[in-house]
Amino acid sequence: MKTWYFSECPYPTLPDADEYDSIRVSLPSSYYDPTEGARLYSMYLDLWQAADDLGLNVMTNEHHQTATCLVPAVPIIAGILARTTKNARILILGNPIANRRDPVRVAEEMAMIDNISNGRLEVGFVRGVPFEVLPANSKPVGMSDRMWEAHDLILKAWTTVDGPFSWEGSWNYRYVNVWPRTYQQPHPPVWITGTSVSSAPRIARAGHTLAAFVTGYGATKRLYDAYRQAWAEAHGKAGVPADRLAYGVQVYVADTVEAAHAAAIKMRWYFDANKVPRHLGSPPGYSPPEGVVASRTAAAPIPQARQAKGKSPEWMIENGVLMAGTPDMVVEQIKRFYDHVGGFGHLLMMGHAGGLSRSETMRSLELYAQHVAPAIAQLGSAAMPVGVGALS
Amino acid sequence: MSMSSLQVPVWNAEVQVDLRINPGLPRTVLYLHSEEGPRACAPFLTELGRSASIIAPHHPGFGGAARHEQIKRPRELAILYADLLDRLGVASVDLVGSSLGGWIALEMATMTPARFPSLVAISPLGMKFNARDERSFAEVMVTSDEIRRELLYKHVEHDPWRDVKSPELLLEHATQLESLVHYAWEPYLHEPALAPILPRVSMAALVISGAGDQLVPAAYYEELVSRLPDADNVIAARSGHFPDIEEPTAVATLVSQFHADRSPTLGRLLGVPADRNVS
Repeated sequence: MKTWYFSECPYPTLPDADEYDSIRVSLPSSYYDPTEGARLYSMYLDLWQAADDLGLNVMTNEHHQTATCLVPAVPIIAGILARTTKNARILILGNPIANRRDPVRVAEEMAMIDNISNGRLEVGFVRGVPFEVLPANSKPVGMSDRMWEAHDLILKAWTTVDGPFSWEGSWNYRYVNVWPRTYQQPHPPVWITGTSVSSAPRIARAGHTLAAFVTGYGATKRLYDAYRQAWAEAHGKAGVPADRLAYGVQVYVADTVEAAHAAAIKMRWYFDANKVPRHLGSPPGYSPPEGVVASRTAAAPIPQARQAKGKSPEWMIENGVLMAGTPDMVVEQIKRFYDHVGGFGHLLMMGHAGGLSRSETMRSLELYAQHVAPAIAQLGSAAMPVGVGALS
Repeated sequence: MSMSSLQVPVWNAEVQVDLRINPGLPRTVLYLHSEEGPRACAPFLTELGRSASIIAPHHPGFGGAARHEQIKRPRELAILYADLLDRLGVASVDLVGSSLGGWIALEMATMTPARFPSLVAISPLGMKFNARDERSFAEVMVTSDEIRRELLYKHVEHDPWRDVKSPELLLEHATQLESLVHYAWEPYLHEPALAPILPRVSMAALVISGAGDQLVPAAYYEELVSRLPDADNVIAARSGHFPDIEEPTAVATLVSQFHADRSPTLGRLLGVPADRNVS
């Protein structure tokens, strides 16, 4: 099991939520104090640095027009970490390629970071959550197809080394010829997030790592099972390498249960503060009309992340969106989840969220690195994904 | 009068068309429905059917008709319907379109103006006249049903989709909204290449807009009328963005009267200016 420390880099010092309609898309930037924001950027970069020093890997992500995430340009953060960290592998999860206007630019950005980090980059692609379509003015109809087209274009751009090729589809280029070439050959490992069972098979067929985020016990198992089945059908073998499955969850380790739960309440801001009008979460075309109609019925399942609002740490642990407690307890919780879902190889550790302080986050990271990481190291495969050997 | 519905093969698509044919009436209308779908305009067509035969295609993706992903913009629907008329053997027809359908009608009118003796554009979308940092159209795609209804209807109880409960109709409505997104997401509800060629719309034209339209500012319709060579503007006092849905009888009467006054039938064409001649 590899651990990837990340923070969404929130800006949590907001007025009472009654004062605004939505924390995403329309929240005026007058709520943002540049002095406080600069302090937060510095803290978040320091925490990633500390994770590297402690032997953990790091993960970064991107959202737009929101106080939940101060990273609207993830290659900038990853580019900084490529230079300042020494050993950590750097996961971008991910590049919202259905929304990016220029996928070749994404290929170029990733190739640069891969070189600057001496081949420590892992490249995630995401379709993007529904709140992202308005900031990007990205047509919600056909987004999944566009994500896969951009994926195909980027992989071809990375792996074509004999001069330009053309691409005439949703995007049009006559001369795709990316410099620099990626450091890892044939290309950095690729990850894709999945939330629905229907999205898993294509990721499995492509052989990419599937990442699930706070989907809890039941939904995660269904997602992994769909991936495993498609993997077996596509690759002719029953066993999926554990490093092709990842789970993202809040993690807090403390010396006492009380301290861990107190921190978990602060981190719950991630669930509690996500105030978004329903319509921003379901732009027409983002989900099939059948899904839109079904989601409005009383029987529609509520995602774990939405259910977690205001819940106790015990509830969040019980439902698999939080691992918190003393080191032994956290190890036990991770193992229980691991056994329930049939195994996975990457723990995407949201080790900071909400208004958790620098020192609170640091204490948890230290305890995690010292006691938890060694205890779960043997879970899953330790093998590296494809493509990690540098060109000589 | 005979009413029928048929599937007409055009390109590799099947176009669903409702026909209300009355050989005793002197004119035929091509009616292009709004984004509220063919179901919502049935009362209007019943009224208009008293004075004209009507050809009413369902836009692909509306009223249960399948969408064709290769048809991406209203201009392509205009080309589709030009071929549809050819398939039906209709050489000349009066154009009536509402909102999205009004946009398609304007596109058709710019392509072959001589084919259409008249045009009635009810709250047509499709153009942008104001500055690049001014909204042309309110947000009606990514918004709540309640806000959308308030923006589009002068009287919210006129929204034919308001009290829909059956799963089939809810699915039809959700599909139609998705189809509007498919056709008109970007540029939002307009085609930049359309406004510059409006002088081609040389036939007698009537622009009908609603007094309570909060999707489109009144100045838009005034600007449109000023750019059309031969157009008048009538305000439907008791309507929002869909006068053909909110005031079906009054608007049908208005259209019939306009046809009688401004768009002579073939039998009365002798002596009218050449640019109105349809032969």
